[in-house]
Amino acid sequence: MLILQQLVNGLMLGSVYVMVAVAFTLTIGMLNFLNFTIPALFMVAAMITWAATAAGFHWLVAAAFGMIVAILASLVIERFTYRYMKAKYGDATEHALPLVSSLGFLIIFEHVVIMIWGTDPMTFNSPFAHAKFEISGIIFGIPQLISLALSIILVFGLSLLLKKTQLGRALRSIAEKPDTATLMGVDVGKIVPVVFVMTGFLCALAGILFTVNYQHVSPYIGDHVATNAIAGMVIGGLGNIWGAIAGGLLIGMVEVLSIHFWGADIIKVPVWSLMLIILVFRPAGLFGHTQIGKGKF
Amino acid sequence: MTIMLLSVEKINVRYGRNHAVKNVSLNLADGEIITVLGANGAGKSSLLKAIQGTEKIESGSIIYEDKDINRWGAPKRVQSGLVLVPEGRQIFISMTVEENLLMGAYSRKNADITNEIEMIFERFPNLKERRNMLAAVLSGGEQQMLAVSRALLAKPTIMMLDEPSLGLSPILVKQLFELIKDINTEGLSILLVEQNTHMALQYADRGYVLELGNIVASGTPADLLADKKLAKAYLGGD
Repeated sequence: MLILQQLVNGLMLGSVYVMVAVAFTLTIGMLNFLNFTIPALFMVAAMITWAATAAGFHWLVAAAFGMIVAILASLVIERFTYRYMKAKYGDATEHALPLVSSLGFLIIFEHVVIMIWGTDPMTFNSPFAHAKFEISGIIFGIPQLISLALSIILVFGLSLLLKKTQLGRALRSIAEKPDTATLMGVDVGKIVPVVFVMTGFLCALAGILFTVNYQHVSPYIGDHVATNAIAGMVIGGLGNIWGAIAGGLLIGMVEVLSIHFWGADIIKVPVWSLMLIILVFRPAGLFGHTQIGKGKF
Repeated sequence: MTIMLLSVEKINVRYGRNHAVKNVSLNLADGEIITVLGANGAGKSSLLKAIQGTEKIESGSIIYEDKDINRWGAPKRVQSGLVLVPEGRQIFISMTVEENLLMGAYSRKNADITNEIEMIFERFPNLKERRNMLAAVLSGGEQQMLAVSRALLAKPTIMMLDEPSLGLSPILVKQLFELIKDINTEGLSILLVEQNTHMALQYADRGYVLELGNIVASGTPADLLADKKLAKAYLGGD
């Protein structure tokens, strides 16, 4: 029964990884860009939600602040990592530079937060701390359940958007052949920021849900969640959003189960070992990765 | 003097040290088919990209429908009817045939193109059969038909084609040129870049010969073919 409880907990935790993994996989699939600022977007949204709540705002208002700041930060990253390099070198993706400059932004964002609020983990007083129900001995937290549902609905929605809408087709055309997309009249310079808005939105939502669910924040939470999300994305298959769901949920369960069996100190080892083993036997991940920069959604 | 739909006046395109297009001028009247001929690296594609707006020009001007469009970005040019079918067809292979057609109409926001798509399918039953399949399954000839159809859905005034016959069998090349002729008869003006000079001159009203970025000859197909030296050097004649 305890194992079953842990599996449920793992799924719930995994749903947070799913959103971040989808954010990673979108920028890789669309732009062939491993955006290292993603952990910071997650963390900034979480910290601001906490700080604004602590300052007396309603938690929903606080969450809206966190969301807005993360999306704006994501657009800043687009402007100064991806677009800048693209303008300078024609094709940003052929250079490691955007990756390195996004890493720079990650470190700067983290340290700005540290300068303001310090490094201590803070407690977030969730309004839903006791909202839970029980089915034959297994406890389901309602906010966790909501985040699981949200992450699955979001990914379905995203996939529909990419498949059925004009915007989605434009994004896919940019992913496959940006030059030809321009010939169709797609304004690539205006559409690319949309990917970054989506990235900011997904990371911020994940950060806010994480804060509400687990009731603590620190400037370093982004690193932990995002590295697990990267592992999840790779396990599922780079650039594949369905793979990101499966990978994210799997990582959540592996993490919770390894804590259950071996304790908290070891959790990174099983997660990353699993990723390495899967890469050895299925280099394209469980669901197959798309050719880099040619996302198939 | 006829009023020109498109006038390219002394444009220069340069990539770093490579001066790809040198002082090139050409014009296209409403309803005409013109062709630009030349070997690989003569600057033909750069010329088309400059007209389309995906390549910046260093100097000169491009006048389209009496407007100087130098400052227009490519999307605006597409929207106003300057549409390029790129070299190598550049079909979106991760999309279905129908999605490729929808992409063609991207610049026509909110236009109802259902009928137009059905008309395309009537014209090309092969595409209709495969409308929901990934475009990757199409043969070379079908891909070229799709590329032209996709461009048609942008409602062009001028359709520019960059070496459309490349890699097609002689029968398909013939079909393709007949299609271009039909499209022209339906009212579109055509700017055709080709290495298949024989076919291009058979269908074009006028031609230009490009060599190392310079226009070295222009005129009617008969004039161009009559020039012995030219015919031997560029037009594959003997």
